[in-house]
Amino acid sequence: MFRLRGLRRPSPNAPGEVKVKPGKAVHGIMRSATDLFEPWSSAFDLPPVQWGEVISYTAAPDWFLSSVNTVMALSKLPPGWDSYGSEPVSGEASTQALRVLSLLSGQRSTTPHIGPVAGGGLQMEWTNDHRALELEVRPDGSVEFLRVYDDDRMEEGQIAPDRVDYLRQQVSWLYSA
Amino acid sequence: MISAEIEDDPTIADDEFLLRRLWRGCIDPNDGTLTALAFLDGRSGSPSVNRAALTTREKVLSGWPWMGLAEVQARVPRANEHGVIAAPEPDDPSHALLIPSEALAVLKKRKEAARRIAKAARIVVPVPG
Repeated sequence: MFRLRGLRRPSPNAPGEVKVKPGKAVHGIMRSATDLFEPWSSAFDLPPVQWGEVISYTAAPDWFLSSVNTVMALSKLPPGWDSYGSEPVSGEASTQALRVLSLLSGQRSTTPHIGPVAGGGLQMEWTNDHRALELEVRPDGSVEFLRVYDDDRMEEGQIAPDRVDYLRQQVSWLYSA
Repeated sequence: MISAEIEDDPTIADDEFLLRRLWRGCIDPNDGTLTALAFLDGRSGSPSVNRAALTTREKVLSGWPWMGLAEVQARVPRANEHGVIAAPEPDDPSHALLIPSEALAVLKKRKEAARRIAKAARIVVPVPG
């Protein structure tokens, strides 16, 4: 239904690695975690998170590239896409979703099911047997999670912006069964 | 059992079916069931539905040929801290709203409730394509 020019792996002759510099967008997608958390860090007087690494597109997992393409497609949904008058996916939500994906790109993962949330957010959902993990990026860019345990218990909460480790733990938990 | 403080319309019976339009993203590609997206509303927090007794599936989908339809009995949102109230509109007397309790946010159950309602709902018109 939605078509757009998405991420493609570079040709064999293209440089496979891109060095991420703080505050610099790489192909409009990757940014450093310092950039990711600066707004909140300033707001809460937290020290900026120092994070930067070499990102190899040739080594980027398929689930990551596929997910980035999906987020980009969903970010172009028109107003009212849900038939109930929803706003389009907000710029804050799509940018944050891409950042979350980039932070998780080194994790063991499968392709999450990504869909828009009425009101301007995005949700990523992973399942592994009887476990599930939902990460919802709200229209303001905040991130909430829902864990579904094997026994159908559920736990939800907000992921603080400076807890990159906690974000990664969520996905690790999913595959730790 | 619905909490006393939830806004709810008791004239809407527990066994009354409520209809909700679906888009492709609502469907879990792994098992074909609904995801929480079908009943998550980050704007008002109160998803719109239609009372099946006051309309038809065709009317609900009129003008939205690319959408599907799910139905759920009113008892399900009520069991998940949502009230069901009639919210008729001039051109749609069947319109209703699922109103979350204030406790839902305090208890951090907003996403859980949406997921449980979605998993209890039944797809009655598949999303085309």
